[in-house]
Amino acid sequence: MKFHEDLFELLPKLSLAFGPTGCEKRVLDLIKTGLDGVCDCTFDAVGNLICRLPGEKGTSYAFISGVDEVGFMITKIDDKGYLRVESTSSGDPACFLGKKMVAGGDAQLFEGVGAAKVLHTLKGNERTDAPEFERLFIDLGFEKKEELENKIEVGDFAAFKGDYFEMPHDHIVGKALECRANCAILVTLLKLASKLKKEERNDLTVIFAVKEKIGFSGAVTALHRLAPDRAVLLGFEPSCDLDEKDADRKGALLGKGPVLPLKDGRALYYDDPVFFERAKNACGSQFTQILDGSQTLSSSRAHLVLAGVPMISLRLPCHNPETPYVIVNKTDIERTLSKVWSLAVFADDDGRR
Amino acid sequence: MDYMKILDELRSVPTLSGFEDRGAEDVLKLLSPYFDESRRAGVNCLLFTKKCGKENAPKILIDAHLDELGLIVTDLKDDGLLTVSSLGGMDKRTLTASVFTVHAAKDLRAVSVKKPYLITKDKKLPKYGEFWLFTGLSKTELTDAGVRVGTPVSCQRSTEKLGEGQYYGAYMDDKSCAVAGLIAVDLLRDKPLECDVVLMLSSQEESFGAGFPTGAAAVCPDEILVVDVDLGSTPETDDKDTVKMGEGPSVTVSVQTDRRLTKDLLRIAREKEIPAQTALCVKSTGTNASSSPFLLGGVPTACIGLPLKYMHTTVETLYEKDLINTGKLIAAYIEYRFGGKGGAQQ
Repeated sequence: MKFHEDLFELLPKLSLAFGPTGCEKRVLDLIKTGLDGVCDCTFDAVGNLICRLPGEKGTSYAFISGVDEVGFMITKIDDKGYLRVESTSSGDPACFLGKKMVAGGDAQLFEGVGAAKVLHTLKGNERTDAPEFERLFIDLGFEKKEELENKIEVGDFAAFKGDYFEMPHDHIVGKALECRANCAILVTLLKLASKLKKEERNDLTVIFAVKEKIGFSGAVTALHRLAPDRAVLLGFEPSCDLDEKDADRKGALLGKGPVLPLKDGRALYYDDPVFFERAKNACGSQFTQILDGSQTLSSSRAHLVLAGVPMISLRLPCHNPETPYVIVNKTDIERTLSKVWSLAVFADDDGRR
Repeated sequence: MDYMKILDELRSVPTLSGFEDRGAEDVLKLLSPYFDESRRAGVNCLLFTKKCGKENAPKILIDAHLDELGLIVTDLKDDGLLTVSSLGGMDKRTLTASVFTVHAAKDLRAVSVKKPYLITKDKKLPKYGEFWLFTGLSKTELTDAGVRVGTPVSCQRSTEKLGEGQYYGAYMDDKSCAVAGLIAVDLLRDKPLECDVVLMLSSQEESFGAGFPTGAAAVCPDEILVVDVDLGSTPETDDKDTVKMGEGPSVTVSVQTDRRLTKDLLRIAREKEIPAQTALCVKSTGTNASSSPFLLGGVPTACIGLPLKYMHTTVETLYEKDLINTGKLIAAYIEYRFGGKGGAQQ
């Protein structure tokens, strides 16, 4: 399979950018710079980046991806300069100790490590239970609280430093790929669609939404204002092919194409069967995994916007979501791009897929 | 001599507990230039000797363990995921979403995966068998690459700077102490000594302890300084369990160590103004020194600790000045005890 080089050049930059929930500006600026001269990009009142590419093919589409990564808010700086933190969303407390961290605010970022008291001093359940976040801390190498003055303060953020590398059979590993891969897909979509004439594409809006991890408030508020005909929500589906005990359960597999969930805990995506079938068949139904969503994307709230925006969700299969080492497959990224391209370019009634 | 560079190079050689022989040649090549003699001895131990040139000279043994914590492959699943168990006491709190190296015919990069927390909300740490290593390869490709049940796996190796004069990465334990021994030998380079100084890099300290007694038996030393990392103070720890970072090596006071030797070390640190601190480990040092009371015909042994934060994780953190001062204390003791005409041995 031939991959879009632009997309995979952009992806590591997006992956490694600092953008925990509530502090996404650096990622959004990177996206905006990448779209310079491609389309009209503006920040809305809550910080979403709204990218408009008008088209005249009949349908207005909104494509949405969250940009924020799992992160932490600094809740206390102790006398020796260690940072106490609280997870801003649903961070895994078993995935903190020993991880490289980045902490800071709008101005400066500092590198450190996720830390906890040493193994040898643990007692009882501490050896078998994941630590509570209130027992974890970040070590930036400072020795006194005063050294952090004017550098970091309570209310600033921290996130994994992460890494980005390739593995065999088109797998890639990186931080925040569960959302940033979708961001890269949508940036590429806009770049490709901008080369068409208006009459050759549908009316397109891409929402790079803040605060996906805490309810997707960004996407919901943006959809309220834009009122598109249809919405395509890009998300992720954790792989479930990890435990033989669950062999009967049909879980997402890496490399088999994006997941098109029928439903999840909050929304039925099949309530517009025509749209659903169209998404399924776009660029080949054999590259689509149709499942129940194993998790409820908070974005499903978007269904409740206005009189109800018809919506489907395309989810990228991944291992280790919301960790510094998310694993995805390039083939799935390409097939997701092909699907959104098909939806963006072809009219609903032109019979082409 | 660039001590931090040597530490970096030493840590880049995989010497997992029980698999030390795989890195032995590289370690011998790296450290031999600083000694008169180097050889293998005992169960996968390495001995490096600085000779004083005198016949039947006493021998002082500096012990630092060569072995490292890691994982070992226990199964290759049909989908290519690897099941693993521990080599030594890995901290299970670090096993979620981490990068490892599978040491097969060639090294393979792997990432640990488990069922996602956002679905399971599991408050327990994953046990062995509840997380897997992902390499991207199929079972057949793994087999072709030489991955078998029993293949060792190590943590990602890198060194990063943390603040002023602090460095972190996996496997500071206990290769930093090997470098402390090397620093001592370097400091003693031009000093007249009445003893041979032997730096032993012993095997299996993290697992079964076979290296220290068998390696020491090949030396028959007159005194032993066991040098191992010590638990550095951080938030959430108690002062009585830890030593302070940046305040010099610890000298362990324990019923398992020699009282005269221990007191000499503390006194010499004071006299020479080398920062040092006392670590109380009444019943057990938790190091190779714990087996010394049973060693050979009885060998006076002391234990020196290099303060280290976050031991047994991938972000083991030390202060460069503690490393240097550990080397200085070892050198000062050897010079006091076995130095030329003024040595206490005379």
